[in-house]
Amino acid sequence: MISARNIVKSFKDVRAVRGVSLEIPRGQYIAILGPNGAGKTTLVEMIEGIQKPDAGEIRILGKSWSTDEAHLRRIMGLSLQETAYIDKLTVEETLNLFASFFGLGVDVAPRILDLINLADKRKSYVMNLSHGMRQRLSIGIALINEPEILILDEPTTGLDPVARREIWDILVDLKKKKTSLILTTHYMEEAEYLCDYIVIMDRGSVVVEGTLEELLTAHTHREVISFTASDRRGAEAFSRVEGALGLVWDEKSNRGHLSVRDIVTSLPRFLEAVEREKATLLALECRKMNLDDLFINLTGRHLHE
Amino acid sequence: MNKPFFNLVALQFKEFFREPEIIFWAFVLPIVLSWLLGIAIGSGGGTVSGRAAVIESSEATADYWISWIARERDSSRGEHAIDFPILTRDDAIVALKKGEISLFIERIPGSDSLRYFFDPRSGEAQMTYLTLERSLDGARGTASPPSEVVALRIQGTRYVDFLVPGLLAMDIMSSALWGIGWALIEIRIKKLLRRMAATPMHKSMFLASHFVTRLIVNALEFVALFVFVYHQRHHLSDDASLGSVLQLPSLPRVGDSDRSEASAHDARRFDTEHLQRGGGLRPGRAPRVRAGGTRRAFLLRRHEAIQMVLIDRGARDATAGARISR
Ligand SMILES: Nc1ncnc2c1ncn2[C@@H]1O[C@H](COP(=O)(O)OP(=O)(O)OP(=O)(O)O)[C@@H](O)[C@H]1O
Ligand SMILES: [Mg+2]
Repeated sequence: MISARNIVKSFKDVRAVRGVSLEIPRGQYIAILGPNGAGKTTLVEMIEGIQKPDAGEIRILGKSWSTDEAHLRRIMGLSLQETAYIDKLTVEETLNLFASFFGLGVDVAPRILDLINLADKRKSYVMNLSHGMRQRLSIGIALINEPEILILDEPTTGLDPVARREIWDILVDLKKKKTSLILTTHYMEEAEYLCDYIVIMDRGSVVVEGTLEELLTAHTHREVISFTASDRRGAEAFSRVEGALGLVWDEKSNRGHLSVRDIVTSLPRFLEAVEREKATLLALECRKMNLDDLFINLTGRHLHE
Repeated sequence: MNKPFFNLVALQFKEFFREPEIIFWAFVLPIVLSWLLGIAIGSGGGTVSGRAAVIESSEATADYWISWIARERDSSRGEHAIDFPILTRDDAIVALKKGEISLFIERIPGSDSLRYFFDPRSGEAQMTYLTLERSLDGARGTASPPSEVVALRIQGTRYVDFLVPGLLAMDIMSSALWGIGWALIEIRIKKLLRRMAATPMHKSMFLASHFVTRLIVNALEFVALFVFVYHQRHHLSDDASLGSVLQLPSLPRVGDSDRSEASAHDARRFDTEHLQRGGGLRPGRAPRVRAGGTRRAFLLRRHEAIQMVLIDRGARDATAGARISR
């Protein structure tokens, strides 16, 4: 229902989005993952019709922004990254304001307040809300017109785990209503928990995309030895350990990230190499590969740098 | 009903009135400001700048001035410019009301002495009056007969009369600049503008709501200030009585002066016949002032250049040659 083809967008000094294509079927939850500056916001704002792509075509339910703006505005709900609403309006008044923009009455606000669990705060000024409550209000505003397509730009960034969980609950409930969701996030576990389909972006391009299963199975190196050493000594030897598929080394923190086919085979060999090279390990962890690890493998970088 | 336009206007008022300090800046400050300035000006403490005087009457009066100008010009080597338009009394009244001159003089019929007409509440007129009297003393010698002062009331020439409309204009300007300009910048910074633009709301409606809000706020500010000024008008205007004209020490002086001996005599009524046409000019108390004392010619600095107008009832052209233009 949303199709984007070869979207390109540049600013003065950066190519923010470099030829991204996406196909998103109706009712699907899709996460766009990536580190700061990956181009997530730029991409979703083009889909939202707020920014114009330099090249490429965006179609939503077969319609385009240039010809059907009025219609698309009605079926879409969105929350921008870091919107500050009006400090001196109450939560309820803010919802009524946005409801009126859609030609809706004051009867909508109570329903939304229930949905985002802010009913007890409806008379509070927006300025007195916590960060998590504001994010929920922002989602509430996005839901006011019962959108077919919901686009949320980093709704949980900067929230504590409890506040994040509250937002996840809201979004999981919505899934029953066959709403489509595009969500950008820095958090792999958020993408894993909420979304059917995951797009990983870095430096303006899609690095990899697919369902969580597809992503994890498509990349055969399934297990990871993650360690921190006192210095770079021995890095070469580690990458040649039996069963090793690749080493990503972070110079600053001296963290190594070794993907292996099978920990049972590779771990003893790795420890032998540590011994042989007289390297000092400060930390060691072995695990099944997760999305964070996949990202590191694909981009050579950590997601939260 | 839940109308976007109404909501947009209402939200601005809510923002406004839920921020009590704004009420102070928008309503109280202009009023306090005009009140303070009104006091400052009303009590004669305002700045006095010399400009404009009017002089009338027969050739004899004109003669004083012509000879005086000639001497002034010589002694100051053109340092200052003096203009002596000669007007009929009617024209002079009109000029006075327009603020083009602040004072005019005519010769008392059948006498050699002069009669000054001005609004004593105007510091500018007081200054001009004093300047002229002093200069005249120098020009006509010791034995000159005393001058008379006729106090007029002229609406709209005091500083407050410019101040209040000025404050209103400034108010409207700043409230438009800050109220609309800054408000838009602020919601743009907050990305709220983007968010609102991403709804089906019409952008023209958004702008119109700001415009209408400003209109309402300005009207309220206007009414508040207007009511205040109207209420205070007697206070603002009556503070300065003619007496302050005679309180010479409070006025700037050049050279030594023993003019402080000048005293007020009882009021006399002024024949309003010639003033009728002008409207707005009302005769007030008019104590006679005896001009005596100072013998020293009064030198004007360039920025104090006085424009003097000679009125000649019949022979406007006779003295046209006396005009020395800036
Ligand atoms: N309006 C703009 N003008 C200039 N450069 C921009 C603009 N918007 C974004 N960029 C640049 O484009 C690149 C992508 O930015 P974008 O905001 O899309 O990243 P992001 O993935 O949303 O990052 P974050 O996770 O920090 O929100 C960045 O290098 C950014 O500096
Ligand atoms: Mg972003």
